[in-house]
Amino acid sequence: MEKLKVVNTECHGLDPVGTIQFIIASRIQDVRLIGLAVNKLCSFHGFSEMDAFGIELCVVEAVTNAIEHAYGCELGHQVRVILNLHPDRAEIEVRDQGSPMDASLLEEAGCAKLDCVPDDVELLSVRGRGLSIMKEMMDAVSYLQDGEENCLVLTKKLRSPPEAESAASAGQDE
Amino acid sequence: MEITHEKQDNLDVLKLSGRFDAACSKDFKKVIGALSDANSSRIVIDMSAVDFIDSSGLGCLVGALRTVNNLGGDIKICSLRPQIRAIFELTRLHRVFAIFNDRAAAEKSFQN
Repeated sequence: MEKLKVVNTECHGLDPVGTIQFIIASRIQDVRLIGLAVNKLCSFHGFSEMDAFGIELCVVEAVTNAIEHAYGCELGHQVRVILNLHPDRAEIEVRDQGSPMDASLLEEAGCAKLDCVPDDVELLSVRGRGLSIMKEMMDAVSYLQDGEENCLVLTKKLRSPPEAESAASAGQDE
Repeated sequence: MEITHEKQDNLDVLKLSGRFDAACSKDFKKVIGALSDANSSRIVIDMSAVDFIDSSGLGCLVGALRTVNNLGGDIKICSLRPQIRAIFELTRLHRVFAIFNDRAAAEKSFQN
């Protein structure tokens, strides 16, 4: 059974740009395949373990949103993920042809929303953290409608090793 | 994700391993539902072998905490890997859950 299809591979090394495209069916069980592949490729490109994990998480969130919200968990659709590896960053496009997202959700998402933790657990939301996670972990998140496709673009800058190390140790100190 | 259930005298320990994402949320909810039906409300979740969690996994944990709180009990989480702990902190859920460094400490906290 074919679960994940690599439709185009252009291996140019790290310079100038490498691009790979993945297509999965709208099956929630297959989301992890793209996540794992993106993590490995970003590690190969020079991202720290933590940054590659963060990119994987954001891609999983975006593809899961496409399946659950754009397609309403309906089978028989496709989600396309295009990973562009630039010398200084990774840029990931997550594309679907389902119902468009309300763009205001992306504007409202982020640190302030995550900070709203009510004392009463009953009032704590079970859902709705995905976009905020993406905005906090990535350097840029944008959403556009491109013809019949909805496209969420995630960008993560490649930090130099000392910068990445100091960021990691700062995270541990907190 | 694999879920192993261990019943102790007065608490239940769930050991999770693998990826805790949307693909396994139904299984997790089923296990919590069964514990709730059995009136088990003192639960330790050992996450030492969880190497990935997303917002669906976190949502499952919040839902489980609500269920167990309504029975008058609590959920204690232990042994988070650094990357998983970072996600709890990013989403501020480390303020919601009692999180312990190891299973023994989590189990002991129910005795207090």
